[in-house]
Amino acid sequence: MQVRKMDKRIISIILVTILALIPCVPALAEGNSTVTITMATDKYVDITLDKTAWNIGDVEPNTEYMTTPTWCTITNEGNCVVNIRIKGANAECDGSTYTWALSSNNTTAVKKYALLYHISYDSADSYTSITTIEAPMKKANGDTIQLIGNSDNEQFGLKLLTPKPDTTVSGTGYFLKDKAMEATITISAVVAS
Amino acid sequence: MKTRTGSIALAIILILIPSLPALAQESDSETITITMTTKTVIEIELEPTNWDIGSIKPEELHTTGATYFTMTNNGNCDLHTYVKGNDVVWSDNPNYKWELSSNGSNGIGIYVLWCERTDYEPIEGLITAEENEFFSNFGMNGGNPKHFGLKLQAPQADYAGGFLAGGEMETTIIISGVAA
Repeated sequence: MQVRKMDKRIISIILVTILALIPCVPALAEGNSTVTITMATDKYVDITLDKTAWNIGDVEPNTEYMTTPTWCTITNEGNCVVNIRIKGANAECDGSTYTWALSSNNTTAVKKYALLYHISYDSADSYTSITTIEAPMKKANGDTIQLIGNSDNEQFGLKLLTPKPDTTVSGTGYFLKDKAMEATITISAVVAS
Repeated sequence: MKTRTGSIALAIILILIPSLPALAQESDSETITITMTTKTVIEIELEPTNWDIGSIKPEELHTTGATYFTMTNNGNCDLHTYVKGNDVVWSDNPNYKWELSSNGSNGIGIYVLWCERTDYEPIEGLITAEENEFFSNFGMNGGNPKHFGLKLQAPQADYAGGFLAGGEMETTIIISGVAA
């Protein structure tokens, strides 16, 4: 009698175990699962310019000064694709309040000069204004300058139009004498999105 | 030993963690400096540029009048101007000269030259072979010209009644300017 009771209990336990395992069976039957691992390497932006100074020397009013179209090379020394941007600044005279404002539209006036760039091998005479507002560098067809990493590069030239004269005497225009003017162009690279 | 190695490795990793963001750089920029200079232009315009006295006899005084010449500063800077004269030379034989007086007195073979100005009050200044100050702080405004004249006294006669040289005699006066 005791043995029968024991048998019943064992059978019950086995039955409960089987029932408990039943919901797990379909899971065990599935093929596989995937784990996606993502990671990112650091992007490093580094551009270089092979020319960082343009000394024009003595300048006359209302006159155009140009570099060669391949005067300066921008090189992407970083490890990612970058978009190149450019901006200019007013020309200033050290120790003086005498300044030339940078034109926003290529036109010059008294104490207002213009700066432009030309992307090498672009169509001749295609110059784009440089203003005090940073903007993407573009080719004549509107394509922005984008440099892939690993020493990809682009060449460009500059053009500067001096302001109209401060004074005109007997038909000849002059600037105020002996002013050493200095302006900077900033070229930036930002990671292409 | 294993625990210590693990701790050192963990420490190195922890030290490196703050450096990683610094290595990641999202933008970069470079600059080009443009330099240029404006010129100093000195340009003095004189009108007229000659004075034809005509016939001259020993010791005679001749004058243009104090406003005969007009000097204009056509440059882009204020000027200090200077004047100097030269000997008078006979066109047919440069060996015959009248030396420019250095003291306002004429003599045989020595003539005298003055400038006359009327800018504030009549001024008469001796012109010599040395550079002397003329108009100082001559403004760059071309619309503010200066006027002046010249006065010349001929030498004493070389011989009774006349000069040894007959014909054209010529000299030049140089007016120079330096930026003020």
